[in-house]
Amino acid sequence: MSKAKDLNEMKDWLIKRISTSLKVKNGMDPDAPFSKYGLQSIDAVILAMEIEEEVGVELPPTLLWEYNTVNECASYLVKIGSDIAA
Amino acid sequence: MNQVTTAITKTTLTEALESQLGDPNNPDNPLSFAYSQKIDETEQFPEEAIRWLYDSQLARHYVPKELGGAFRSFSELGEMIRVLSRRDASSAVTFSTLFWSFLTWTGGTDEQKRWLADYIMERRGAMCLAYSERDHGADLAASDTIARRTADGFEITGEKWPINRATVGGLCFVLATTDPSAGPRGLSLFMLDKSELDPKRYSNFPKILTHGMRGSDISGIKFEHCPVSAQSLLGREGEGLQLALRGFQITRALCAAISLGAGDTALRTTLNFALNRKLYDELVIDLPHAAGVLSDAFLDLLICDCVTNSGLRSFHAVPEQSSLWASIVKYFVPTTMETMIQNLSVVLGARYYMREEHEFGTFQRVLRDAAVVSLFDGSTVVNLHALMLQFRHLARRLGVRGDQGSRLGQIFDMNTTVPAWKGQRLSLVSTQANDALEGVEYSLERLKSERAENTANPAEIDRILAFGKKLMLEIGAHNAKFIESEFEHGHLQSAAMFRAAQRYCALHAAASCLHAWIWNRTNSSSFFARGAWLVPALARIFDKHLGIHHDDVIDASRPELLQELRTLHRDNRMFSVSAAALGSN
Repeated sequence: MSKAKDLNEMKDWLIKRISTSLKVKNGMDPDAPFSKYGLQSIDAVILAMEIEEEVGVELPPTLLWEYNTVNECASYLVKIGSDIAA
Repeated sequence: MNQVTTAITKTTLTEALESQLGDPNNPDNPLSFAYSQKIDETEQFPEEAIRWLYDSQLARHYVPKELGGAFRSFSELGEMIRVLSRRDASSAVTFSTLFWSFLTWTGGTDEQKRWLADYIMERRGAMCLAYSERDHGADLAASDTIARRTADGFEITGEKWPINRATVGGLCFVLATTDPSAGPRGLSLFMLDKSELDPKRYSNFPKILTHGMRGSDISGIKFEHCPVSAQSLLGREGEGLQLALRGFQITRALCAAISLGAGDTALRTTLNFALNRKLYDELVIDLPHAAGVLSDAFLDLLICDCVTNSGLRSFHAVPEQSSLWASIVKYFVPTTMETMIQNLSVVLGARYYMREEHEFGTFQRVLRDAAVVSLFDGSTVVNLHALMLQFRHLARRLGVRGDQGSRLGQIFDMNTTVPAWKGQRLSLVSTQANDALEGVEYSLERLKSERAENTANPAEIDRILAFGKKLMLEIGAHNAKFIESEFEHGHLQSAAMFRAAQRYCALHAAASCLHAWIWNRTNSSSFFARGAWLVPALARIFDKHLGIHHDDVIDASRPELLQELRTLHRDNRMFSVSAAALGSN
């Protein structure tokens, strides 16, 4: 387990992590909803479960529904003090 | 915790209801074939049947016991729906919109639950599910129906179509967008009592003429700035999609009971012909082609019964996995039954095409009515898609097994009690591996140890173990394919992924048959428990769905299968695992 990330590190990590899963080629707008990159409802729940495996805390299954952009999601993950184990 | 027991030979609800309803070929009985023919031909709403069902207190079976109803388990509710569907699928579907009440039992407040229980049981309430829209079909998140916050509630504007019971029903579950910028969290669910709405602010679309279920009220509803109270919101604002998807899990599995009832009638009315009609000096049933189709149909019914029954028990035993079981059941059972009915039409010949004559033209009506089941409440494509999204994540969860034996017992052993249903434990995606597939090894080990101790027919057990081993290899190949796969998302999945999902359902069906027999074979001395059906059933699934052919195994089993089919027919018993006694007067 690595040290806790600050907000910018978390944003960078999330952009890299989600871009890889969603095969986003031209970068992600941190304020755009994930649906812009093709993420729908059930697959968003599965991706949240994958992210949960890689951070140090339990996450709500609807994480990516509730925090619908990279910025919102990164803020939440920093707020709850999650580490990135990956 | 409330406990429910269902034994392999105990079919109390089915037999009581069958006895009450009598022989559907008798026009004087409620929900008779003659009645079914009348409402189909005249496209009339089945008012008389629905009145009889409320008079007989059957609506109580949708209401949990703690709210004064009679609901104890999904297996029992499935039994009831199957009995109704074998008589008239149209009336069964019309009545069964009551299963949308599980949205309230899952997500409602105590007050909403009490109100709905009273509405159903005392005021004979009925409901519709207003999700679909003309331009968006299954794409629920794209809803154009808007619910705007007001000072004392919401104001709804939008159109829902096509909706079963949108017109002839007092309650409406409406999915609407409360926050257009919030994605999946932007939808909310409302439970609307139409009698409390301003009649000038909503209207119904006319009944749509349909291929089957012609008596049904398939119509639609339109809201124009329609004020609704804040109390009509079900769950919290923004939780609508989550609640809707969990509700679908329940109703998708129950839909299989409609298909099973239709399948029983299609086989029975065909047998009534095949056992009496002579061609070339032989009874039709003795002609090799007809014998093949009829025995295949019997196997299909037994396979689908195993899949449905365990699927319904899974809601109590492993609700964390229900997103898998529900989609598998909803894909596999209706599509298998629909193909089976189509195949049987060849045996019935010209009579299949007649809207009268042989048993009130029942066959062609069943063929048309049953065809809607794979379409509604999540179509075949929707269910396969919901499964394929989970393959990678499931393959990565294989190591965590916990108390698998206890879970398998609760799902498959029909003498084992299932826990009371807890709606809040339903999960949007499975948080556990699929116990039917990952438990095959456990059940086979159990069978092996029983064989070592004492068994009457070791050669048959060895054949079953050999099929079980092949099944494990196929399951292993599926997992190996997906464990290293990439994350898949969205709706643009490949045709190959759909084929993989179909194979996955077939693996689950084969595993369900295997577990069902292993966990119940000592429960009774029935044909099912003796097990002669199991190897041909597995061979049929391998043959049809996995491209592994065992024609010799199936052909060798036909005489015994046909003998049992004739016995069940003669004794007027259901073509099912339970072989329940049917209404005869």
